[in-house]
Amino acid sequence: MVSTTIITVLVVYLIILLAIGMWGGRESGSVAGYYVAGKKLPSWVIAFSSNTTGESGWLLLGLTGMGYLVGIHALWIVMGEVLGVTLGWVLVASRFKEYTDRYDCITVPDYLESRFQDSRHLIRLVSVVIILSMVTVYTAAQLTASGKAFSSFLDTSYTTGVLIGAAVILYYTTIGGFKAVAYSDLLQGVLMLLGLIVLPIVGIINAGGWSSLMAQLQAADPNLLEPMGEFGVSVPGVLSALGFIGIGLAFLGAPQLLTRFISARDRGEIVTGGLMAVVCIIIFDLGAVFAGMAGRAIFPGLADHETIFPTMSAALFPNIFTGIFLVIVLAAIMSTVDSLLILASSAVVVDVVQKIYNPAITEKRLSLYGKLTTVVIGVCALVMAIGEVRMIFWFVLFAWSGLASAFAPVILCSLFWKRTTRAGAVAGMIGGFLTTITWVLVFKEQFFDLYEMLPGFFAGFGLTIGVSLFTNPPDGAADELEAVRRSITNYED
Amino acid sequence: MIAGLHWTAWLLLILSVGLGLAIEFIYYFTHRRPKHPDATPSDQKP
Repeated sequence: MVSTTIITVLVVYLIILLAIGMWGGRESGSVAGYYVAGKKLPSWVIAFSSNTTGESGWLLLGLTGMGYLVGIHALWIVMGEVLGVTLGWVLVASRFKEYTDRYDCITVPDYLESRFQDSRHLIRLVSVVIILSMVTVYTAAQLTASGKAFSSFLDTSYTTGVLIGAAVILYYTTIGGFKAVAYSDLLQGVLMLLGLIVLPIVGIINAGGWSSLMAQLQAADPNLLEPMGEFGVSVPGVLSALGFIGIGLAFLGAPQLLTRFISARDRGEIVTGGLMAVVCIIIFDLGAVFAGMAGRAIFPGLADHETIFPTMSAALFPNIFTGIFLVIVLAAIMSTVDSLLILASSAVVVDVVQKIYNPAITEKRLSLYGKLTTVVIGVCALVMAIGEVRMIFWFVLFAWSGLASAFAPVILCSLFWKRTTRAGAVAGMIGGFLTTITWVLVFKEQFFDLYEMLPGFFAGFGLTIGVSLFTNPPDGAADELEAVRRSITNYED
Repeated sequence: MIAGLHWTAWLLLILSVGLGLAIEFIYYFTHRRPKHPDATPSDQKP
């Protein structure tokens, strides 16, 4: 029987989101206002927004489920994510912000086209194809999470859960724009933080305390407490650990995360935001892994390990808190999907329609195209999600690595290597992206299930550098890179 | 064993958060305040 308390909490949360959507919508009259909130965001907003965008239903359902399944071995994921977030903020953020301000960019394809002086728009078009395809897959994965969350919390069917999630997300993303997205991310990030502090603590207490929990896990399966898991120190074990660490590589260049750096008020906000982001991701990830491990001791025979979060919420807390935990899962899902939809919408509206085909197009018409793009992607993702119930953890990570393998190597080379060329960038993006897909479809099972991010990322790097060595960099690129480097150094000395 | 976990598991736990946190703290405390009055275009926004 569905609890009215849980439904009430859910409805209150949705009304708050709607209000934020309407507030953000008032400020998003211009294209820059709609897509990067006019570049006025303070540190705590960009920090929370980038983390909650990166961490979605994958964190609350997928990573808790992985903690449940493999125990301590899941800490390699924590290592990868913490290092990835750190290096993203320390190495990439300031340089990227400086470049995008110099070029007056509002999207990542904008930046790449300006950086490589690509008057033929090839980089822009390649970027848009990759973004649209991977955003659709990523959104489908989040709708899967929504379906599982609703069916676990409220006993609805999986399909109903997918449909409800899709309806809510499409509605407030369409009306609110990036400012609504970023500030709702802040609210959702705070909820996620609270949930991932409270749930593991309550879970460990219910398991009888830390020592009791460890003893129960040891008895259930000793491999749960081994750093290399069931594989031991072996080739599959090392590749599994490397694959988990590789998850963090996306923080060095995934476009939906880079947009936060573009939207920062200034570079001072980036320095402060970085510290907040790293502390936040540590709490998120450790909370998720230890919640999963506590759940393994308390609920050992779960059919679907990715339902451990809702199972623990329902069993260990009164109904009102169970409702809040449902809200937290939805918050995690929505904080990612809204950013992805804005990214895809900007790819069509700004990168294709405005910059390539019709620079004179009115803001009103651009806005309409943006909303249509959002709806089309949402519907495609819905069909994909309803068609098959997949495992959230690997479904999300496929889309995550598709975007990262295409963009991160090229972004890094563009920021640090003066010899990077337009041809190298195109080769790296296409190569990284296609390697990811080919690896999953053809090679993964034959190579100890090595996570596709690693071959994709290194193929992207190899092609960017290899092709760049045989082609010419854009005029003035070396001087410009040096000027950016000096500008950052002067700011920070 | 320390509190139910092998020392290698504790090492992984410490490294998983410690590496990134150390890098970030060093970066934060060495870059947190602009010292040069002549800032770049991005820092002179109204």
